[in-house]
Amino acid sequence: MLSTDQGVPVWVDQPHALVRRGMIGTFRAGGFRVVGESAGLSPVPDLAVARVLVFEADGAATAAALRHAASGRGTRLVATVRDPGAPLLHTLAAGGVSAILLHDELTPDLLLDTVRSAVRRRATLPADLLPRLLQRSAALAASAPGTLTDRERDVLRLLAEGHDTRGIATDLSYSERTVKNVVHDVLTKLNCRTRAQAVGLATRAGVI
Amino acid sequence: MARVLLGEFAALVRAGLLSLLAEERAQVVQAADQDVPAWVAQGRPDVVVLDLDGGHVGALARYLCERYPAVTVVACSSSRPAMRVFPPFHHGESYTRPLDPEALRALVRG
Repeated sequence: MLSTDQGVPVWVDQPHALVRRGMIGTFRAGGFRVVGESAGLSPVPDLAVARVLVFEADGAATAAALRHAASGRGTRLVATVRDPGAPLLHTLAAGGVSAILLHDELTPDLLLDTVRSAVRRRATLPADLLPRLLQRSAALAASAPGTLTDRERDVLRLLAEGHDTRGIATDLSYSERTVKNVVHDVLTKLNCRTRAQAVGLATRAGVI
Repeated sequence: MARVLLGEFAALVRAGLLSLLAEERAQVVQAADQDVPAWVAQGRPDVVVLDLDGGHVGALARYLCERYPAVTVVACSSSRPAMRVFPPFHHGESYTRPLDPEALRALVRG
């Protein structure tokens, strides 16, 4: 059957060689033109020629794909996800991905329908994504810098001034263990991996 | 022409396998995992390809290797790029390697 998607250029990024092959065969049978393939975004997809990038979303690949596509070419992003954790789904949704497909539910027909919708600028998300996104948003709101206690702000302020754990402990008359505990609480609250990241976040939010 | 028996797989993995086997001009029969022993007894394929992620696949592969030692059994993971190969005449011994379509082709060619 001919459709308006005839010849739409698609790039397939998928680390599993057989799944990738299955996707490519599905797209070709569906009338799309597969202009490239990669695994873990290697080689880097050529978005100058691809109108749709179907990519496997995991931490690093997701960030790279979103950055790459954000260069303004208007390529539609369709993410396939094996482990649909709330943070990843939130990153994808916030990053402008047109569609998210869960591997467990993925079939050739669903793949084609989803990419056709993406070409028409319609979003396709898993049915249970919204509650997960709301849950994630609530968690992020709870981790906002504004929720920091005075003690946590004091510690962050001294971190920002370049003090180490011992220096902060001396300045605030805390034990070093207490300072470490406070720092741990701050990192958890702000969902940060490092002290520097927490200082940056709190500074940008104007709370220290 | 190699005779290949394909067990149950996720749809896109199956599509990828069928495309690869078509290029090898293999004669392919697809079966539910529970029917694999009967199909092997009946058709004596050269290669049986199973989904490594199926919990029962290890036992099924060992059964096939024991009953039909000339058959090559390959279990490909649907979720990870890995495959386990049970070579013929090795009494069910196996090795796991990265899933590589070329390696799969070589096994089908014998």
